[in-house]
Amino acid sequence: MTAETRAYIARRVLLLVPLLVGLTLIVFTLIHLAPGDPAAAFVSEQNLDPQVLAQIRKNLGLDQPLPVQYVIWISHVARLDFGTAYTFNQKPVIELIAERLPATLVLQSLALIVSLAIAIPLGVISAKKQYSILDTTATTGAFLGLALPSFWIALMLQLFIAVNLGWLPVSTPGVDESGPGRIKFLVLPLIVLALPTVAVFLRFVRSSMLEVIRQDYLTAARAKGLSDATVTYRHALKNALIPIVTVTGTQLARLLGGAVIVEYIFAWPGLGALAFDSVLHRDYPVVLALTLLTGAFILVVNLIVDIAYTFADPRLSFRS
Amino acid sequence: MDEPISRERADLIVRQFHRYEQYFARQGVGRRQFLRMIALGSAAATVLPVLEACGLTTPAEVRQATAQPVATSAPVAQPAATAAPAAQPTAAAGTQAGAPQRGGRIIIGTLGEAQSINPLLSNETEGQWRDKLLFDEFVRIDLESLKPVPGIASDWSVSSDGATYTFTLRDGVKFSDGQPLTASDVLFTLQGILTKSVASVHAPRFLPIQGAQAYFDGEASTISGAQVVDDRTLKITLAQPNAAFVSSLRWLRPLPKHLLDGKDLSNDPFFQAPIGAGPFIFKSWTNGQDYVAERNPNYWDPNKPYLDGFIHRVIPDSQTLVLALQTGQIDGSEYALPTQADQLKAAGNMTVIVKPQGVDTNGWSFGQKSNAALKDPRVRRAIAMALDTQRFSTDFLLGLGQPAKSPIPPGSWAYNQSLQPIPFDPAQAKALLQDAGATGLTLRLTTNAGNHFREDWVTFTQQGLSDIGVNVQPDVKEWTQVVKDGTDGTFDLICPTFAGVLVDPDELYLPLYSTSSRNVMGYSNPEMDTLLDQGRQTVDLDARKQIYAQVQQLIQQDVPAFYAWDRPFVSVTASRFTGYKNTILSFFNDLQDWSLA
Repeated sequence: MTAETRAYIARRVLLLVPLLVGLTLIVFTLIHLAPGDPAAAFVSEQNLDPQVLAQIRKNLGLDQPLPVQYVIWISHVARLDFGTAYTFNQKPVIELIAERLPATLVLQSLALIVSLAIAIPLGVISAKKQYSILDTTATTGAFLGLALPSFWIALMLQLFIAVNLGWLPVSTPGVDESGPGRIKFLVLPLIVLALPTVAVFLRFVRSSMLEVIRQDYLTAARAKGLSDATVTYRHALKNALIPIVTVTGTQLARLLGGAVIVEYIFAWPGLGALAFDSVLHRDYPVVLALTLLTGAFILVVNLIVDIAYTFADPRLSFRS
Repeated sequence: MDEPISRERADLIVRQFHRYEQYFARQGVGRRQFLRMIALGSAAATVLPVLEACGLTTPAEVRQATAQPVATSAPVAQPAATAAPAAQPTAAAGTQAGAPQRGGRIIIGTLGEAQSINPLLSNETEGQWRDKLLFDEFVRIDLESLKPVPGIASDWSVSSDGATYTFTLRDGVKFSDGQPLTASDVLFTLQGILTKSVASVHAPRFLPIQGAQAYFDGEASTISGAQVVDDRTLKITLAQPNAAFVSSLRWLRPLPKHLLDGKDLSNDPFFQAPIGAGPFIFKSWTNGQDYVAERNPNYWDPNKPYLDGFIHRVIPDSQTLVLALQTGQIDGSEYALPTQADQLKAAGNMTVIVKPQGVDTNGWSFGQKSNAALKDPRVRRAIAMALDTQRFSTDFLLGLGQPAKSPIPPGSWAYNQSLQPIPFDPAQAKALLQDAGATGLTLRLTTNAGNHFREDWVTFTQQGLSDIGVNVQPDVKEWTQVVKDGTDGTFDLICPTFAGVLVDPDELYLPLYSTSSRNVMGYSNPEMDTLLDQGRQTVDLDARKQIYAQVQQLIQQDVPAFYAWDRPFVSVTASRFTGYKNTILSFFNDLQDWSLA
């Protein structure tokens, strides 16, 4: 690693701090601008009492002016204290997120791995046999995968595979299901999540392979008498994968963000569903913690992707 | 034989049949069960011949639907007891001979997660239901009559002035950790509810206790009106007699003092895995997924609960919830609400029960504040007389929903059985309007968009009132806006009424008492005020019943609000379970009585 690279990384890491603070400011302002009162989540219409309502606001710290609330919150966060949730049984926010994180992480990382495992070989074959039946089928499939809304695919899978054929369960595994028993619950949400990402990856791999295949150095490699496999996988694919690094980076952000619709439809207790519920309940501590976490994760992933470029493509460097 | 049905009316019935078939299909109710519900409903004689004549059903299907059910078939309960022929199956299926067997577990599906299982804080259905089974109630509500019945308090007596209650605790009640539950635990919980910093949503229900306000405000260190006499006796004195107070004691769900004394009751780690005296104990809760509870071996009734436990599972999408019911992933639910979906085939192993009348009584309230013409009771009554509610429930609700007569649920102890419906008489309605000098009226009818029963009701009202020369402007908008109108009093007619009763008839006090801050209609009748005061102060249930019978009579005469029809609801459970009761409260409310059939 060159000195320039190190300096670049240091600069980017330092830049994370103002970015994150800015992010919290925006989210904090937005969530407070949204209509709805978190204290209202505590009282119901038939026993709404002003003195109880006032006390609830006081307990939640909502009686303070907004800037004061922000300073209190951010000073706690600086000490890694994200507070306790308003709802969700008043659990500490960190515990709540830790409880929900594995479900999202497992589902999303599997979806990413499966997508890459399908898209890369398929993309290479598509590019090598351009306009063949397989290429046309893969391209059509990719467009369909992108065009069909995930909630519709989810519903159709539930109806045909789970209800009509009875092969797989329609929704969440219960707490009793453990170990290999859980795998069957993963299949349907995995398909729904992987379909659009396979499509995206496939298109990228194909077009970037097509570009590389026509380069002179590949003709040179072939002329040297290298086998077709060596030419394709060692020389062509390695270079063609550079854009895939970028796309994978953007998809990685979903690892933490979760997929609200898929988690909702399949009753998957992940972070996407948690974010959705916390916004509905105006559960400020949870919303803020989740945004901060996801934001930080995306920033870090972007940084890693940028650094990864220098390894994938030696032509790039951080000289300014 | 009835008069022949007009073409127009038959078309309407057919149209509504298709709408309902879809509505119920989304709740997991199949065509056969749906037909059976119609056959058991109040309008079978009108609806079934129409459906048959239009080729929507075959005579064989109708025969099957109207046949006496065989013992093994899934029973469909009566929407209301009144219209039931003698041999109909009842929902209370736990009446077979022999003791119910032990064992089994039920998985209940819900759309929303509980927000809290701290009984002082929980304010929504899911959390309150879990608490009820986890902590039990000091006084319970009978699921059918809605009377207060013994819970942890096995017995109580009231002083003659109706202000002092002496409660006796059931013998041998223990928390699930084996410690006995005594009157000090109950008092401790009461103090917790009334501690201001806890901010318990139930505090307002207990402020009528003498000295409760002073305790709440921190001016007193004890509640003067609540005293522990001995381990099994608790005395509560109210600042003013209030007969509805006993029903409020269902919100008193005793906490173990020995584990919580001196702790912050609004947020102690105890509430992450609480210990109570209810029939089921807390096992685990994976937020957003499963809440697991098991039988409490220390429960005071040694025979109950029969089930080993239950799982309360969150399935946020209502479509998935129905599919999970059909595929047997879950065993029951009350929350299979309609969403956009295709027709679904129903599973044959489910029991579908139409809830009794009174869950959601619709009609409208008259806004006397915003429309002076409505101050005249003759005008209000005339408007009510112009509507054929029987016809609405036959043609639009296909006999599944029922015409209503009173805000009080027909199953309640307080319901006036001899109440006659407001007669449908457009001619007299016109005459009344003439008398009152209120001709050429224009009224705005506010209701929420998306509830097609209420939207139908708006159309029906518009037609009915145009016959007596009253012009109705539909005002159909978003629910939150309707609530704002309903709480501000800015409406001519509004559906729902915002003046309903769920458990105790004293719930009418706030919307109907002339000087109440929640009387948004602007209704005022000294006679009603006197009756509502009497109803609140009279302790004897029979005497109270007489008073509320008069209240219901007066509502029919004065028509501050018109209670016209009941919306149908269904509960679903796997047929292998029994022991439930059909109730307007939560279907799974008394899960300790359930068992495998």
